[in-house]
Amino acid sequence: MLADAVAAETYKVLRQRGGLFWGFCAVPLSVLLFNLMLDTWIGTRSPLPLALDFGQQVVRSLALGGNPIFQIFFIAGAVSIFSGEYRWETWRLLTPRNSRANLMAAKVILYAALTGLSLAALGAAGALHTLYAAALGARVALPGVDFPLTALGSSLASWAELLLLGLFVALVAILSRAMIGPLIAAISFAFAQAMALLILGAASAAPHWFAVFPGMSAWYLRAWMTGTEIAPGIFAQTALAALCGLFLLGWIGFLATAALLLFQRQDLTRE
Amino acid sequence: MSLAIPRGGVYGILGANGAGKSTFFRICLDLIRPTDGGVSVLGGAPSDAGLRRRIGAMIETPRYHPFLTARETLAMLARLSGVKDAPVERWLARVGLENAGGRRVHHFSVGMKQRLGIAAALIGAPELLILDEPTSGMDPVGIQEMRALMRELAEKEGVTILLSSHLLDEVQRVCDRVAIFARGRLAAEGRIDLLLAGQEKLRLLAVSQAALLAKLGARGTPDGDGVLVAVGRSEAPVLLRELITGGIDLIEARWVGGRLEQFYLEQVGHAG
Repeated sequence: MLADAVAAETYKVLRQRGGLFWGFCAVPLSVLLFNLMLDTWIGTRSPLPLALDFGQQVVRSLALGGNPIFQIFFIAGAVSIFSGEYRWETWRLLTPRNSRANLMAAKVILYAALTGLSLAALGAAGALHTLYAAALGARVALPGVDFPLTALGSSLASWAELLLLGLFVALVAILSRAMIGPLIAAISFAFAQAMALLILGAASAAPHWFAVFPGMSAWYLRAWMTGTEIAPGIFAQTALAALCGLFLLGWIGFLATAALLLFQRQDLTRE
Repeated sequence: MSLAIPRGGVYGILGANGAGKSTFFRICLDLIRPTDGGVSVLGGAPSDAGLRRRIGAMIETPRYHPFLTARETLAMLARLSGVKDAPVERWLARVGLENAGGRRVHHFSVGMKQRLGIAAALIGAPELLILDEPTSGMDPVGIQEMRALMRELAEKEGVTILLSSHLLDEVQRVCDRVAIFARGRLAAEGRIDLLLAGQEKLRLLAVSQAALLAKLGARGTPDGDGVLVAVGRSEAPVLLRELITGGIDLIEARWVGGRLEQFYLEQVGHAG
């Protein structure tokens, strides 16, 4: 039954070309094109002055999932998936054919899969542009032995953050039965976290409570997994990173449960 | 109210706007939960998703995903219902949309959407079909086609059909039994022919109306150039034989009255 719901949702979303492109293809495509144009511009005007680290380029691309500007596109993709049935009043067409739990779970699964694929494409975009730069004459350092782990860590942290945003969209869509509400609420949520991150600044000066904010947790976790400095000379601590990971999972669990419970009991006579 | 709907045949649900017809259907489909009491459908609870797969439904004006074609809509719904190798083309043809299968649904007229809704309700080969105003917005030819389809489904494929419609003439032609709702209560229920039996009269036209009236006595009342006789269908052959052997030259004998509309208005009026 869940498999049927996932198959139907996949069939439908693949034909929703606008939402599919802007939500999940536009970001990796634009990142790739921008980097290729930049590499070409620099390569044709002067020798590329810096050596590129292949591993770093891929990890940085994967970390773009935490960029609020790019998150807008993923939010748009989530809105097209979770708000569509309210927009077109089609829940009455679907709910007699499968359980509500399966219908909502199928949307979450599909959103998670599309987000994962998009992040993979982002990583591929980072790799491709580095290879292109190498072809233009840049010096490219090969990735170290820890590359697979750091790449995986960066992508998991980004994926968790994007999944959380998608579930937030789902919850607001169920509550509001609309498209605009979840879009604006999720964009505001993403930007508010980005502002909080700027304001709090160096994590070493911040108390542990900031881990409550999912965007902060994802950023800290990503920094720990990739060994990136969070402030000059300061690196993420393992214990706090673990706490951040737990908070992220907690947020995901809370949002998914709340969305499912509300949807199960929702009156669908008016959509 | 308490209502038991037997399997098989076409069952009509009638009532004024706000009587509770759509609410009843929505409860059967688990779109809403009853505040009191319960519903059993095909022997199980409507909340059972496996059971709901045995039900096909079209509630009010169907809504579809505008970016899907008719064919894609049916294919998607078949996947959702777990139907393998769904006969999409066959159902498109049965509802008269074989030439519109590749068109996006948002280009469809109201009547075409109704037809697609019926095909969508049938794509999973359901045992129970719930249709709320299925011919709304259709042209007369389409109404006739849908009526024939419903009778065929009920008689040849054994599908139980619950039908609500404001077109009482259509209900009388296609349904076997009806229930009349009025202000959330059950005003009347039963086989149409039995509910209307008391209203039906036999209208006789004879060469001599006077001779006919004299033969019938108190049983006959004049009606224009004919005579109305209150007699049951089972007694009609005996009466006709009696008249003919008694020397009455009959020109015409036909049943009149027994209109569902009249019965419905009486029931709704009593319930009010």
